Amino acid sequence: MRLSPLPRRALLGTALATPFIQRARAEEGTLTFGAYSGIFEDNYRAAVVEPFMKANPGIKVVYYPMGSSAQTLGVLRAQKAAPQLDAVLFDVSVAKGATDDGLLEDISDLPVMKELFPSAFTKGVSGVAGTFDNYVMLYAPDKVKPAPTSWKAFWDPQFKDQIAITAPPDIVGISFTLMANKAWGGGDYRKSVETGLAKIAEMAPNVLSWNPTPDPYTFITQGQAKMAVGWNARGQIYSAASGGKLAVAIPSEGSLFQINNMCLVKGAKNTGPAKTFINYALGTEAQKAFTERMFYAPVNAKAQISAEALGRTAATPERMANMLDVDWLEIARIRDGISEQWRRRILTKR
Amino acid sequence: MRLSALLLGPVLLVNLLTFLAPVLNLASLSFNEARPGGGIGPGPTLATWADLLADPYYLELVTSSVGVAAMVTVGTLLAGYPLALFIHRASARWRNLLMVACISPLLVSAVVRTYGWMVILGDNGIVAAALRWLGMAKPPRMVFNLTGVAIALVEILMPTMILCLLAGFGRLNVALEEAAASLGAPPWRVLLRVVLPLSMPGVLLGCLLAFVLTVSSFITPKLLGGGRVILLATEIYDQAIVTLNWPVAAALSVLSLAVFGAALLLYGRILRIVEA
Amino acid sequence: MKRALHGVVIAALFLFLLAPVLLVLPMSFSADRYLVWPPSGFSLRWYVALAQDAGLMAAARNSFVLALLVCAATVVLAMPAALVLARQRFRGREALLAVLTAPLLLPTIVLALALLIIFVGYGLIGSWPGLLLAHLLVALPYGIRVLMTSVSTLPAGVEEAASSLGAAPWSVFQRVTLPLMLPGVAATGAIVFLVSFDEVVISLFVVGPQLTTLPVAMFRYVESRTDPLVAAVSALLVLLTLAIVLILERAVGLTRALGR
Repeated sequence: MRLSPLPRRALLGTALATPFIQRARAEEGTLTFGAYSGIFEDNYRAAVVEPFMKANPGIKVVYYPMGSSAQTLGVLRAQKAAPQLDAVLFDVSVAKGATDDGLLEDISDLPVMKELFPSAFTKGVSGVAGTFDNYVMLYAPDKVKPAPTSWKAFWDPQFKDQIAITAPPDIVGISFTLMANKAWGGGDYRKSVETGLAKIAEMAPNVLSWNPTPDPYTFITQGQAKMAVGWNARGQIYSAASGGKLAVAIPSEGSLFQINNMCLVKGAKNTGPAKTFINYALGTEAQKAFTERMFYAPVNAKAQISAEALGRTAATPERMANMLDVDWLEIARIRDGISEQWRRRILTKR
Repeated sequence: MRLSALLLGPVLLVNLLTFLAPVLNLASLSFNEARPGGGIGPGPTLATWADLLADPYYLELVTSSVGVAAMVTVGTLLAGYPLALFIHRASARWRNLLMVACISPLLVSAVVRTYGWMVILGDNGIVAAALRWLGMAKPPRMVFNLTGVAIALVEILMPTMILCLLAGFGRLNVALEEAAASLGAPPWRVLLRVVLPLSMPGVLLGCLLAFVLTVSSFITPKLLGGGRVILLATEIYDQAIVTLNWPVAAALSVLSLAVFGAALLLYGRILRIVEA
Repeated sequence: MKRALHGVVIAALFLFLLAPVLLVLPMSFSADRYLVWPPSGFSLRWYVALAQDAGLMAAARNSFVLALLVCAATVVLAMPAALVLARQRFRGREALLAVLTAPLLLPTIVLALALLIIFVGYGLIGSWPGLLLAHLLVALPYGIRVLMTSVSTLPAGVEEAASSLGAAPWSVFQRVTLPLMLPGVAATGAIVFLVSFDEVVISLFVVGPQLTTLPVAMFRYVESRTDPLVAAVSALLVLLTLAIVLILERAVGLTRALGR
């Protein structure tokens, strides 16, 4: 078939313009982003998603709220053939599982990578840290006096039916197992968390709900529970809003540092816009906005954050000094086993 | 005949695609082994079944699910019977209206009705508020445990029960009751000797449905159970969606089908005794 | 005295049965941020919030479109089958009927898992064809049952009269059978619409991040937030159900349509 001159010229033009068209197309589309629900969603939308859409009018971000990282992984696995999530933010230990299953795409070529702290990168896990946080004890300061200083406070019989703990597979419950194991002298968690599990089964009568909805923070501010476990960032924001109904503590035995990994889903349809979004979410502007709004420690070394906000994040020297050395990749290996033991020995116990 | 086959064909095809093939596939999957991370090993093997049946946890899960289902069934029957009898005895004009009122909750989503129970039974709910107003300092806890789940399930299953009971009452004759009463039988005896035996088929069908629906209930225990009420259905969901251990989920499904089959057999037995 | 006691018991049972459905109405006008009774004040804020919640609104649209599709597909598929099953006696008819209505009896969670496993392999999770098939699984038994009842209550002899007057089978169906069955079709449509619109367990297994239904979105919402927003959705759903029940009652009588 012979092409007449005009279409041929048009074809040539298209060929020459292709790189630009592709570039332009990368700036357009709708991407689905899976991350935590509740207060995290509210603040992440306001601080990151909406400013991003304003800066990139061609891209629409659909925020798909997820109850826990484990649920996100479940969705990724079930949709391996035709993923509908383009980018996800979830716990690094869960991201490790997703990486091993071949569900995630490498994003180390994004321009923003060179601005990030070295601790944002975890070897053997695709994606890169999007938030830093730490595990905390939550309590109602007007009802729990004196303020608790040890994880063992949860075992005090005076708190019968007064404690809210989110059970595994949620990472809050996994972390509680590690802390219980540590507090009660269970030794190296890599070998066994048996002591922790046995001890938690003992305190089951103290627990009001293993599935506090909307979240453990609200259980305390609403007066349903007196103590709970959760994350520093969310605790800080609820604490500020509650007018003294909730306080955050790091017990003497120490606590855990937690990383949420920002990841690109392999085989998803909107990889272009998703990369643009991830690049923005890790950039200085978004990191500053989110930290100052919700007190997650930034992953971007160049983000200029007010001392006041930074003082409430996990990244303060005194908090960092209390963090235990926990290998989240090791946790990735044992977390399914921990969840199963919880279902068997703890949750059905009364 | 050819025309009939043509007319039945599409429905049968959909049934095959969405029911027969998937359920058979599910059953055969229980003869595979799970691999960590949602993988499925080669089959056939009895490994999954051997692990499952040797594990006291799953045995307990089945017995406790059956126990909860039996409890809820009895509760539903006790709550539904008086209402059904009342509707049956009402005048024709009222009967229709009462029936619509009783049965329309059946058409409202279980999510909505469970949510309604959260509003009623919650710590800041209506019952707690009423009890506090009456002077009780610490109202009993009705959510995050089996109590709340059972209360909500009884209410959710009541319309189904009432529907079955009313169908069973069809054989009930007012003249018969009046005859018994005129012979000097006290009301409770009329109920026990005349009304109850005649309504047994409806009672049995209602109980069967309530039992089966409780065993497979899942929304209500998830939302009201505080993570504490683990039944066959919630375990299947967790294994299938979160852990992605499909062989175990498949085996648990077969187990719940077995429970269902046993209930059906029992129903047939008792029905035959009653009818005789 | 005894009668009064009996009356109180009956009234209490009615209240118990209807309370959760009725109470979402006042709760939906709550001015509070959480589920607290009694509400500190009344407002329309949760209806406004609902209108602004893109996720729930999209899910509502999906559920509505899906229910209509399921209605249409059910009537088209079940009508011919109901005609054959209600009129002809052939070997294996009982078995066929049992297989076709079995999905109503079996635990939905088992059906849901069975579909999930098949759908994952074909990439049908979170897709329109997948959701339609999944809903047809539970809708078709209802459709076949209700339409069969409707066929068997047709006045005898009218069709024979038409065909003896020389009408072709198709035109008998079109001119005589179908008009006579319209109440039955309306009842099927109404019941199937509600079955599809309320279906949650099977949907929960086969929806995806880009395509979800209203009951699933509500379930997920209640799992992660407990505020009166879902009461607003529920109130609207109760009103919708009431409207459909009235249609059903007008068309054939609710109890007859639901009689299994």
